[in-house]
Amino acid sequence: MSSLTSPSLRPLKSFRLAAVLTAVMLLAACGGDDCVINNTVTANMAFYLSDGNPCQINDTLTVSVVRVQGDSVVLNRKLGATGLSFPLGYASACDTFVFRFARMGVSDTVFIRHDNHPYFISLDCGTAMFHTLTAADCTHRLMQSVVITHPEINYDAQENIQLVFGN
Amino acid sequence: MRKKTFSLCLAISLLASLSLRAEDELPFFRGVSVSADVFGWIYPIFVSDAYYNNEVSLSANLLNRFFPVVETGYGHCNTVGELYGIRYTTAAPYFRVGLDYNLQYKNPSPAGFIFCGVRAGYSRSTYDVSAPPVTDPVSGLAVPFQLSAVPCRALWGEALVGIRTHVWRGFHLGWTIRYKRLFSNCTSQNGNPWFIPGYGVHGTETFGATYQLIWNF
Repeated sequence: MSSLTSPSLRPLKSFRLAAVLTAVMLLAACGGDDCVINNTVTANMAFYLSDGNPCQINDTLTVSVVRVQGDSVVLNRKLGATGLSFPLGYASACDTFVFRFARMGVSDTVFIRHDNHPYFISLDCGTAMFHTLTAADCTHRLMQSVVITHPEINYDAQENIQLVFGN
Repeated sequence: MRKKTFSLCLAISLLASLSLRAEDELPFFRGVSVSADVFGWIYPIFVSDAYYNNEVSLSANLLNRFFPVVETGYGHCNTVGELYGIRYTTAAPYFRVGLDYNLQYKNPSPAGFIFCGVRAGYSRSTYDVSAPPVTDPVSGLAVPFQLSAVPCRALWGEALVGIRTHVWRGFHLGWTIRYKRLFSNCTSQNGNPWFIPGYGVHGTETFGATYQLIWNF
């Protein structure tokens, strides 16, 4: 036992201690970044009644976004929709969505204003465009109001907008 | 900051005074050393000039046991990612303060010693990112992607082990392996930095190494 503390073995003990510290550091730093599968973020909209309860659209709903070169369909003839997710424009500050209710034969339009934030993820995972919702409005045939609940649109899967219908 | 510096000095003094019990006859202050990290100079020449740090350090020898250290350097990064063609550039100074502890202080050897240590690092930088245009999912048009002078203030800690060997007179060689952990993240509305001067490639944890030329005075 006494030989373990002899001066001749002390450098060896120090070396072992340094080796153990190095191994601990190597193990502690293991890990890496995972990339998301799709870099495009979406705004998540849910439908509500004016009394605050979630609702389902008992109609065939088609939603399209208004573009200069022709409208683009975001949701196509969906029956019983409770909400939808859609991307926002990267260059535009305001996007216009037309909601068509086939059976009732009426349409409403939703306007969403937003700021765009170019987002650098990493050299290996690429880039994305995040958004901050600044204002929202709608026409009032069936819709009552549009409420922004979480303005930041990023990779967090949370409700961003509540679309409120009259009872 | 003054409080932190005072606390560090107090801790060093306390540790040093404890060790004086057996070493009263030895001087407390045993000189200073200046060192330059050659790893930061060699790496861009022989390995890759995508990113590197050039640094020098100043340390004091207290009882041949404690070595308070100040390190300063300049970090560079100018690289293009192969996968997405994203160019990332930054360059800024950085600073570290810390303490090395001689693991062989009880059995000093003229050949050198093994030591462990800790550092606190800080850098304040800005970075630029330019990427190929991204396609707008609404309009279908190409939108340029450019970030300029995004600010980043980073604070991190390091735990290290190293060896210092005597070569000739006051000249020594030494290396350290460092485990680094980021304390304050630079995440902003525009994302994370990819490279932080003095720290390395961004991540909660990373590794670093130095190979130093050391002059003792």
